[in-house]
Amino acid sequence: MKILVVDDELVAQTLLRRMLEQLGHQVIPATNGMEALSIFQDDPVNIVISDWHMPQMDGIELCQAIRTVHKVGYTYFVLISATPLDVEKYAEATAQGIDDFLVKPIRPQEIAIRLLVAERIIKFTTEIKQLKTLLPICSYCKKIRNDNNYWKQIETYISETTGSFFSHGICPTCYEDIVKPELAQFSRKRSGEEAATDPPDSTAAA
Amino acid sequence: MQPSIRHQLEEMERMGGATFVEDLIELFLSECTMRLTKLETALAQGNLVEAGQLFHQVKGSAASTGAGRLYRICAVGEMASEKGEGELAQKAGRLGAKELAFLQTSLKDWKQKA
Repeated sequence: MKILVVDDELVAQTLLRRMLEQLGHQVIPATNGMEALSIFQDDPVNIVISDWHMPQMDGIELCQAIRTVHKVGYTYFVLISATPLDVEKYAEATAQGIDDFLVKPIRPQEIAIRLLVAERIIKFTTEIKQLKTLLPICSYCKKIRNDNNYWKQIETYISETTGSFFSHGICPTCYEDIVKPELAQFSRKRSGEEAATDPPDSTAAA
Repeated sequence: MQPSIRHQLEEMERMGGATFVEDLIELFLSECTMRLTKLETALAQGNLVEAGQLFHQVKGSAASTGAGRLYRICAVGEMASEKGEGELAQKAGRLGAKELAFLQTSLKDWKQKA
């Protein structure tokens, strides 16, 4: 994966770069938030690892700016701090768009585990986005074509793709337009049948 | 040498090799020297905003290399700068410079033994 690493402190940046390269990732370094944003606008990566406190534009401001850049796919943002954070700071940062946190010194195993989670989340968000975008659907019967080119009933498609189950009901419009007339017709037919099978009135015959 | 530094250096060596660690030590010492020199100037000018930023940066470098004492000194200096406590910040600056001098010797010894 391509990862944007942002830290004004070169020792931490160098260490982190080496760890990520050892894990097989391609690293794009930046030494401040403004530089990082400019790089991201030209080449929107899926993962950003940034120090929190930096001059001019800090990590949270960078995250907010990055979230406004239109791109395909989700950007997973990891914030690094030299100081252990309290719950309020975690909450504040998470509310601003941060996905994960690391405290210096960062261990190679730690970053490897966090990136595993990041990849998973990026994969799921990509799948959800694909599900939400254009779906090939038959104009007549409303079957949907899946990735293997099979046409499936809409319920089957959604069930297989999302794991959702359906609870069947009748919407008000269909009740008025379809069900009520059918019930009326059924009633009329039943009345007609009953009239046909009723014995003739004996008083009338006499 | 502080055990935390030794542990961190050994971990870095496992990850990147001896040359990588030596380069990182050089980078650490040069960055900290440069920043602490700027810090002295900032404190002399009473510029606590800049002093706070510099303490923070040295604190980050110290955290990355396991230099716990330098980290704690800079944490105090950073907080003092933020609170406007110039005297305490200056004291932290002086202690930081002393600690860096000590680290320079012990890291040099470590490199030679390695």
